[in-house]
Amino acid sequence: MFKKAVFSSLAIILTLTLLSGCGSSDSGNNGSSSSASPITVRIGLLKNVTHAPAFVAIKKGYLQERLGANAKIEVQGFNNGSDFSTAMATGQIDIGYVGPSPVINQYVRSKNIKILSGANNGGAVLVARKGSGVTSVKDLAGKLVAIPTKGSTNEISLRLLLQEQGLKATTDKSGAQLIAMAPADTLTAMKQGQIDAALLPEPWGTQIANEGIGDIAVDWDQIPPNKGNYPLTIIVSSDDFLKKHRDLAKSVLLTNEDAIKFIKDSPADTYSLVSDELKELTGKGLAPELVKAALAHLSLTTNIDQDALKTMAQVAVDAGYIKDVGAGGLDLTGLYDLSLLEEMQEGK
Amino acid sequence: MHWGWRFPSALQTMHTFYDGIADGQLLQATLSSLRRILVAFALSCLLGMTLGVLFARSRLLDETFGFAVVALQTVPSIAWLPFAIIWFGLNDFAVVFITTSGATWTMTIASRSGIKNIPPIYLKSAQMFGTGRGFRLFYQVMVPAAIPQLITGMRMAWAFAWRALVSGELIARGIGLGQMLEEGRSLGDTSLMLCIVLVIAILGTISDHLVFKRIEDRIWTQYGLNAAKS
Repeated sequence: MFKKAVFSSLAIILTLTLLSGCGSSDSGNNGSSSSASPITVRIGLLKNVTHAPAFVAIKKGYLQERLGANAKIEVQGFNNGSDFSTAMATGQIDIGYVGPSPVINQYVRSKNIKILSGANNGGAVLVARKGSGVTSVKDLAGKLVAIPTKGSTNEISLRLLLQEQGLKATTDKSGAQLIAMAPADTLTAMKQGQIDAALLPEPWGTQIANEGIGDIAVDWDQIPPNKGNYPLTIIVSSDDFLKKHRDLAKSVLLTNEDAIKFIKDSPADTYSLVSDELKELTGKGLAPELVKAALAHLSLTTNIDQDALKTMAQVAVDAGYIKDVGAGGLDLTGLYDLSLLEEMQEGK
Repeated sequence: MHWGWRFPSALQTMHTFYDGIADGQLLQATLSSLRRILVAFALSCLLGMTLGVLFARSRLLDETFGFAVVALQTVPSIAWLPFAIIWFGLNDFAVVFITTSGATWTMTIASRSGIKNIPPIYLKSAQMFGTGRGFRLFYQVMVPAAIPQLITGMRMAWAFAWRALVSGELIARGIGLGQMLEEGRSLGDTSLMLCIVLVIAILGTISDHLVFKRIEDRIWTQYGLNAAKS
């Protein structure tokens, strides 16, 4: 009798879970067909000042305005582009701001991501810990250098820097030894003397310098490729979202343009907005001077330099991160959908 | 839901495996991981057996620190990771520490019960034959009598050590199977991830079959326990 009761209650629970599971996925899919029902737009971004246009678009309310009252915006912050790209490829976020290299790494495997627009060029610096003996790239031999994640845009820049000096990225002391860690952890690890240098997106480099932990060894406008003028933050969308909600994707691109304009026109008002959004994402805001310094280390643009991305993709191929590249080189044509950006630029 | 790239094909995985061997990275990672785990395993066997014997022989220790060992065993070794980073840095030592702490407590408990479960008649008759109560009793009677349990403890410690090793390596610098697994995740390279999982599984099976199982079988036969089992 008791056994029977347990069994049937288990069966009921199981059925209910299955049913509720189906229910929630159904509502997600049906959202697109009828415009009256609310749509959830899941936006991903990284918790760096290099993503300032996203922060401003959210905090200024541009995003809600353009997407319409029907849209429910869910913001997810990531520590690095790898996590972001995995989340996008597996359908956990729809659209968002990220660095290009992890997207390329993910794209060659899953082929379900599209680059829609640029947001920001440059904004990463090489910082060296005080007392590490590193003052230039040459000194990185035998040192431990942190990057946000394996295959990140920052790592690609670091590899290019090392290449220029004839050094190699290694897993031992013969070259620059790389280690992947979240930028916030890098700050702590550098304070404890566990790592010697780091190539990081802003505001982390400036923050490390300001706290007296380290010095900027290579400034943002000397970071390859193109001396800082390379895409570091771009807007990407999942194929699925772009197919179903092209209009919403365009709205996101428009708010990106609005936000960039706002930052350029009234930088002083930007600092608190950026700080507030960071506080929401990480629980910790940033001092206005720090945001100001970080924003001075990057150039916001919606353009996307495909040649620079090609150079960066080649570095990933050479590093063994992208394998089985055909004779014609890496084919990234399916990675871009710049039609929305072109429409916007033509004023449609 | 379509799986597509999420689950790599056998061919892709083989290809990645071949590439890894060919460029030496996979081999190097495997060797580094093996080196770490062997050091940690040796350490935890040594520590575990010493502690186990102490607990089995001294009631005072057993009732005070013995309790702490049971408590420590329930703590997943990865919980020590934040401490290990702060104490030792992001190096091999931290990984060895985590791996050792993952395996030591299992070994301690196994050797403690191994010694405790020796039938008192063995000890009494040994003493009658003049081993005394000291080192000779320990070495000539207690260790051989506890060996079946010690081997079981070592097998378990080995498995626990692997778990701790891979999770510890995920964050440490250098190269190892854990690092490569994390690299595969960062790059969205599922074939690399599966490849590493398979390598770990194969290494585990090989070491269990070729080392522990053989020793165990031999000892069971030697002690005449195989007959009792069947």
